[in-house]
Amino acid sequence: MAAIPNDVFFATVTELNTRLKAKEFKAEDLARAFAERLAQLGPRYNALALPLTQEARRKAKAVDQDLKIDRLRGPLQGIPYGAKDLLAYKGQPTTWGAKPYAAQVFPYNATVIDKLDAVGAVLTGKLAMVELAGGGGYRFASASLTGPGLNPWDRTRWSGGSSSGSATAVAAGLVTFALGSETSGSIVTPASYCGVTALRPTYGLVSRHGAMALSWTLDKIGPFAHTAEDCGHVLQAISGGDSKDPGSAGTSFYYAPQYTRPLKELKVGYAAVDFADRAEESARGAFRTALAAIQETGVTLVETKLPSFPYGPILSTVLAGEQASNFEQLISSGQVDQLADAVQIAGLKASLELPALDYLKAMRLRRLIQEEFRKLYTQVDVLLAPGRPGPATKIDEPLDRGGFQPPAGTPSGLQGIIQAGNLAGLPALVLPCGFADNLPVAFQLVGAPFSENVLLAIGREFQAHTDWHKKHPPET
Amino acid sequence: MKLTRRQLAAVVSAATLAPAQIPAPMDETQAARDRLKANSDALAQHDLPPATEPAFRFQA
Repeated sequence: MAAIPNDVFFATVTELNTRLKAKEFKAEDLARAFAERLAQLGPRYNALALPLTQEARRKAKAVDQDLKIDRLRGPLQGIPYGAKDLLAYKGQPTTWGAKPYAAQVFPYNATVIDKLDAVGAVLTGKLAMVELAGGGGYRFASASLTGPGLNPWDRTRWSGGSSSGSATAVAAGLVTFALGSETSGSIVTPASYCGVTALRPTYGLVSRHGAMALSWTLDKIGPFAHTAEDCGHVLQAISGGDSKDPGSAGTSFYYAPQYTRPLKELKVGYAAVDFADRAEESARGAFRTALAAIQETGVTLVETKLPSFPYGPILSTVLAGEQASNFEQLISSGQVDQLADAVQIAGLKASLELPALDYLKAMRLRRLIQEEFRKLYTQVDVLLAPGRPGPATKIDEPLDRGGFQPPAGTPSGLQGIIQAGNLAGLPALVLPCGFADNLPVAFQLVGAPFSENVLLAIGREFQAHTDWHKKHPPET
Repeated sequence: MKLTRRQLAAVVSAATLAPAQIPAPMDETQAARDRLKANSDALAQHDLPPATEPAFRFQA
């Protein structure tokens, strides 16, 4: 086995692919190095659900055969990655992070796994997650079959959820990219807390076939990576129509940020208060610096407001109705009591009693939200807000108490943008933008449906001017 | 300033409750039901034009 240099663990997709094609090392050696690192360090952060070392070596050997005869399959060929454990991987356990499903095995792969296999990416392991993606709500970070997701920047802090292992594994250099999912905040939150770049795609752009269904009308699958460019490469590989996913938009994505409008023509809507009084004090300095940096990309910042809706209650109502239907058998059978978090158990049980009228009212309000966002995107091209108002919460801190609260009377800014963005099916790009208390903070760019290339163009330019995305945790 | 015993009792009782901010619910399922009801109340405060159909496509 050839020695693999340590710098590969934080290299980008593009860098690794170039080195593989230059025969600097074999894909098999690279896969083995990453798989061993994931198996060794993953448990340190409770990030690993299932190591796939042998499978990864087999796949990487096939990649080496392809590379030997110059059969090139694109930038992800030979790149090690991890997948959130809600994605089916044929013949191996897919636990959904929950004890009642610990022995669950599917006879097929999720579509996204097959798509990545087709372009030569190498799956090295399944990654930990909050049980059932946290749909019933949860009080503690420990709401997972694998224990609380520990933040690689500081293991006394939470990694964020529900895609805990996906964000952690990228941040700690255990994989080059990872797949996660979001129903409401499950990509944005862990990416922000772990300081990695991540993309929540437009609803319907990426097939959910083979993924745990929490909420049919809200669930989305997206990548975590070291750069916006890497997210673009992964999204191109996993997007596209799929007759096995009834929510599929039947649309492909081609990563081509160079063909978007010039950044100097773009208006970015934001609310200054989000980066000041609505942010935790420790993060305000970082956010101020990041706001200046984003203006250096050429975009114009304009003050804006979100349409006025009770986004949180609407999203919670839609989610409650759909998760109740998805998990009816789990709840009715009493197996729900095997879950780790009392709030999650209670939330799922109560959701069976949601009146149909409430669900329909929420869906009707959702229609109005979509209309209002259409109007908003005629005035601005992109929305900008903090990913989270501050750095990662402490690992034992209750998560259902609302978190940081600004002083009474503080203007609302773009509060609720995570729920609003998910209700309207909007894409979001999370970009690390500094540090607070030695922990990463990030902001999110939220665009109109199918405007991923615009978000990635801004992200790529932002990362060309800054180096926050290149920082990695000291212990790794 | 003179405090009556009733005022003093109110101050002491508020101080005792202060660290918890939100008292831990005795019955988690009831608390979850209460959250659903609170959501329902929040939705009820928003007027809907009669012709508004539920969303069937989920992109703005």
